[in-house]
Amino acid sequence: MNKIFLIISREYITRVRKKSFIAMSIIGPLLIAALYAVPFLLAVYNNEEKVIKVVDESGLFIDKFHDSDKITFVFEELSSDFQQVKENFKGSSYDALLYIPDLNIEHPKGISIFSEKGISSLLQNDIENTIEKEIRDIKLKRSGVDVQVLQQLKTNVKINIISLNGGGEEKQSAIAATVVGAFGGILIYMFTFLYGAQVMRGIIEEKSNRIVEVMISSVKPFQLMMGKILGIAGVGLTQILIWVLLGLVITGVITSVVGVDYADLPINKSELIQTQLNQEIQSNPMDSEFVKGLLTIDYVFIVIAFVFYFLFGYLMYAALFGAIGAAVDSETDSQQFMLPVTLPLILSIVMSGAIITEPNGMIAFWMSMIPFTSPVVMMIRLPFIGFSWELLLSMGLLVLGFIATTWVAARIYRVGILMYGKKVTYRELSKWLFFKF
Amino acid sequence: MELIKTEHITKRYSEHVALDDVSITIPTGSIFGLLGPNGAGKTSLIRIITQITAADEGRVYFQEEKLAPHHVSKIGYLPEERGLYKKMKVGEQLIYLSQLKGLRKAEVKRKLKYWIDKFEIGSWWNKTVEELSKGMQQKVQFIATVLHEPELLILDEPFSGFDPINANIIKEEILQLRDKGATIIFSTHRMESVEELCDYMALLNKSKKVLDGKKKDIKEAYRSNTFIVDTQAELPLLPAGYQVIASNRHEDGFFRSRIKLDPHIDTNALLSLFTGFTTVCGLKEDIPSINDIFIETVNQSQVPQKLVIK
Repeated sequence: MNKIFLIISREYITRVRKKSFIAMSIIGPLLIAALYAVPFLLAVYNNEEKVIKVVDESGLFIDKFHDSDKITFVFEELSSDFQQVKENFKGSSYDALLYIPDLNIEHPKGISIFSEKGISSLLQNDIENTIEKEIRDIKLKRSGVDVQVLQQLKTNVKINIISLNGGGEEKQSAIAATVVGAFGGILIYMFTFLYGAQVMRGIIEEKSNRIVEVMISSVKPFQLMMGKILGIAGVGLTQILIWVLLGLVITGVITSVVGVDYADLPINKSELIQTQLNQEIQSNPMDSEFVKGLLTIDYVFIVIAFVFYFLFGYLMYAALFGAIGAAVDSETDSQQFMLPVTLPLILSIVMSGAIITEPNGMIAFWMSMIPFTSPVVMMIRLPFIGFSWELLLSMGLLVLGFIATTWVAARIYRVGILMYGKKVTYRELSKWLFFKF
Repeated sequence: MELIKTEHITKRYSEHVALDDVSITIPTGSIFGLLGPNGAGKTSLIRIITQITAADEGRVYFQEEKLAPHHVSKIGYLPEERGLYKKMKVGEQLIYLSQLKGLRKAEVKRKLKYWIDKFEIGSWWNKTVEELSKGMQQKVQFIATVLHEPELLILDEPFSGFDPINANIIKEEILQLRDKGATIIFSTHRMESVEELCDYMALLNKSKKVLDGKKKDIKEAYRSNTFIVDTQAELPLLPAGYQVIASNRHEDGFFRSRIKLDPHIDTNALLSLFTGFTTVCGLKEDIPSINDIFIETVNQSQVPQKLVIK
């Protein structure tokens, strides 16, 4: 077993020393930080105040538009012809001109915004909503609804989701759970793809270098294959670890510079969660439901499940990628085998939307049982189902799937690595499974 | 004593039989030539001995033990298709490959000193393999094969890719390793190096062993009492028992003839035929080269098979 350790450490060290690995390790968190910092900085520094001139011929909306931090509405009596107002507006310091003609509230038409630079769709929405609301109120009043009743009609509903798993009752936020689960799923998807492909490339390289014959006169093919798979798994885990640590440092620096207080947030496993968390806080400072939700998720449980699905999902796919690498002579030949292997992985990401909307549906259940889709799908479902027999069954099936695919892959591998210059078909591959060695 | 003994090895692939009932014995301390045309089964046999694959039938013994995984550390294998990790540094690569053969890092470094001096490769230590010329890569690979001082060294076309000077260095090293007690299996098409180096040989053709034994004995068996005689004048008519196979005027002016003698006739009798008639400039026995034996045996073993097909 000393030999497999040697192989693992070679695979690990040569990759970790590569410039591309170091670059990815630094650029990765920077990109994520940028993703988080850009909107933030834009929000902070691009705080230009907009002044909108309102000309309301109908007189229905006077003082109905409320000024916000960024937008000020200035009403102007229509003293002269509107054409004249338009002419005046062109040279003025106003950012936009909102024109409301004398309206028939049954068929409101002709409301226009004039602007030289264009306005954001957000502002347009805002104005439309205000007008719609006013017209509705007017209509309601006309049909005899009391103003007080009108006010009572507005109810603010916030649903508390209580999870009954793990013995105690815990408050959960569906959004927070979704974000954490989906993030774990995407991470598994990304790394399985990236590092599985590395296993394949490594094996093709050994094969085309012809070093493989020297190697397997010293070690067993299975040791060589598993050594590579495990070594690359180590590289992947190292990459994640570096990202997390660097991410924490960067977040820390930005925090101290910008002065936002993160102290009450959980310093958790991935800083992308933090990023999203932060964005959420910025965009919605009043509503801390999301943050509370994040705080109530059982992270130890999620992290353990994540590591499990990450490792076994990767191991299973890496074995298959390895088998492909052994069966072909060059990367261009690998395409025909890549598709069926990657299809379930892609499918589980494509279906993630459906799974989030119905985490306990048939599709979600079966996809989280089938080992090829379960690593990603189960991570998405996990915050909704918690610790249960489903989880245990899915984990058990994944381990079985891993053993089965590794068995298949090892058999294809030991034949394939010594086979050159032959276009391999699926029939051929299936024969290799039962070759006597 | 034999180092390797194979008994009735048979290896089948889906479409063909690679080895058919091959039994060979490789004596300890010998250089054993494994010969045969392309596709004869040499590589299949080597792969079975190196435990890269296993035989379908038959047994292999290493020093009279059944061949087992722990024997790999006693074997060094230089495949015909050379290969190293291109992006790995020479020093690290040699250490890695030797560690896989069971050496410790300190041992590797100590043993490497000899080879570094021998091949003058000290300055390559921190270069990646792809920076080296092809000949240099071959040297590195040769070192990787022999560094763990294997008891059995399997060399598949060891001289390909070397210039004559370096080929000679490698040849000297092979002989030295043999003198130190290593047994060498030497697979090649280059018959002159078989002639020069091998003590024993086996000839495979179409997955069967067609010939094996001591080189000397084989050559002895192929002697046909044929002589090459160079004479000043054209050959006279020779009496019975002297069969002239060919006689031509040589470009230097003399006549060269190949004469096969009946078993009881010796060279003195042959010479006496020419005395007083012409001057004999040269006489030597026409011993078949390994190359001739190779071609003859392969052709012979092919004839009956062709007949069977018809």
